[in-house]
Amino acid sequence: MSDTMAERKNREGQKKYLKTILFSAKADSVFVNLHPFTKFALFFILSIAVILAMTKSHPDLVFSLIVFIVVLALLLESGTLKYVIKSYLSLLFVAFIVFLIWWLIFNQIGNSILFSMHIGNYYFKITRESLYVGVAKVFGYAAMAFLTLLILMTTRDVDIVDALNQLKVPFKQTFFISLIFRSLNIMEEDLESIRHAQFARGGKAAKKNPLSRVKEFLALSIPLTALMIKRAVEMGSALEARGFSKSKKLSEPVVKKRIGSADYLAIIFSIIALYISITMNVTNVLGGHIWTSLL
Amino acid sequence: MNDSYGNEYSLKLFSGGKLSTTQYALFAIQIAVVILLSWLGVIATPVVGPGIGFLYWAYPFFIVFTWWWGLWGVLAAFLGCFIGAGLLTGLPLIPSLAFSIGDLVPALLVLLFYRGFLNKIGVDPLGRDITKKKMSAFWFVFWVMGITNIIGGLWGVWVLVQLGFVPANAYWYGAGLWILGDAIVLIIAPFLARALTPIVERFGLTTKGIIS
Repeated sequence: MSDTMAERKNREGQKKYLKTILFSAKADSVFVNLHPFTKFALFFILSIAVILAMTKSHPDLVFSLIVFIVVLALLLESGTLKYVIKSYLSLLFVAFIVFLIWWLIFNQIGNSILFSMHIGNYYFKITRESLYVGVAKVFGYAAMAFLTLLILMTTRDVDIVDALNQLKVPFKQTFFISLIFRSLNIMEEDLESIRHAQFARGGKAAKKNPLSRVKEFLALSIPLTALMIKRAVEMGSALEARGFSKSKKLSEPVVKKRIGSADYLAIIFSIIALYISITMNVTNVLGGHIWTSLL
Repeated sequence: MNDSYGNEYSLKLFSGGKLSTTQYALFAIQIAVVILLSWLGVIATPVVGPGIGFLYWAYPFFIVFTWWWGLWGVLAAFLGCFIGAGLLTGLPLIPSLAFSIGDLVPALLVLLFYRGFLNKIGVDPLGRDITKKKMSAFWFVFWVMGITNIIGGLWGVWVLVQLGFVPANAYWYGAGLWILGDAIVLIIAPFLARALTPIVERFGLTTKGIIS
């Protein structure tokens, strides 16, 4: 989750990339600079729209595909697409393949057979219809997965703290939430240090037997928990030394985000997408049978 | 074996008075740890089905944290699943929220049962005696690895079916894999509790009630 790109600066000394919850994003990107409320609304509304498209009796492949393309464009605009490709593509690719396989195996529908075989008493077939449903589900899932990564890769923990401040959430609750996000990177680094220390002492990695992996993880879990307690004791002392229990509010953020025209446009776009998803099936409007026969 | 060492722990909300600053920091860090382990549980272990990772490493941790820190452990279970196994792995907002209930409910049931009924019949509410007493081992296998884990698995996969991620025909297969994977990693919990509970208690960091 940590990344050195966050420190990259241009000739004027301004940061080109900002550290975000996951990796970093372009500082001058329109999407990165949207208000956190807008991003949350966009995330929520588009997720509902895609789930509705996916769960229709004839899943709306074209709708999911359009959302997927829009999200890819936003990942490119915010300078985060490279992180998706570098860190998540193999994971997501496996997830998409597993997704498709499950839908092909457990959703034996349709009569236009593309492939069939007998495995003992079990008759397995892939039809145009089952392949269409599988592909539509994969694109729906992909659109939502990339949308989630887009939000996490373009939002900073200070944005969340700022948004909670604007919502007048009490200081202690806001600070607690910011502490969770800040501790994520620290604990990830601690976990890596423990792993390296164990490898240096002859510990083995990547055992295939699940029980061996449990045993291996047990060796990792005890130092991790002990380190966590040590960190908490240190942090508690540091907070108390700075008068935390007597504090009433957080210091004001240097830059406060305001809701602007780009925010309104993003909200309008997501509401239109939700309206379309509720009222129509874009794939059927554009001649659904043609899409099935292409497969 | 001192059978009475669990008596100071109860289902009262605030048995320990005001939270210390160290506890405040600790509860935030333990949530971060569960988020991190939930994330690793999905990205670094075999994905066996849509939204179903096989070895969910965070499970034994949030069970032990629930024994130690009551509702804070339950909160870690929920947020760990919602953020770590959900949002950070690309699962959308609504599915993440809905299937996180599948971790919240088991953790809550473990808390209520261990601090309530089991505490009264002599089972340690912090799980230290699971490797020593047959009765405690039985309740761990029956309640933590069995009933609550099954409830969590059945709920989680049901949500994935309702949201169109898992085909309806694959429900029992998916739930079976979920429950089996969680049961395997839960083997860690008694060892973790036995090794670390004395340290946590010595620092005065456990919560006597379910909040403080």
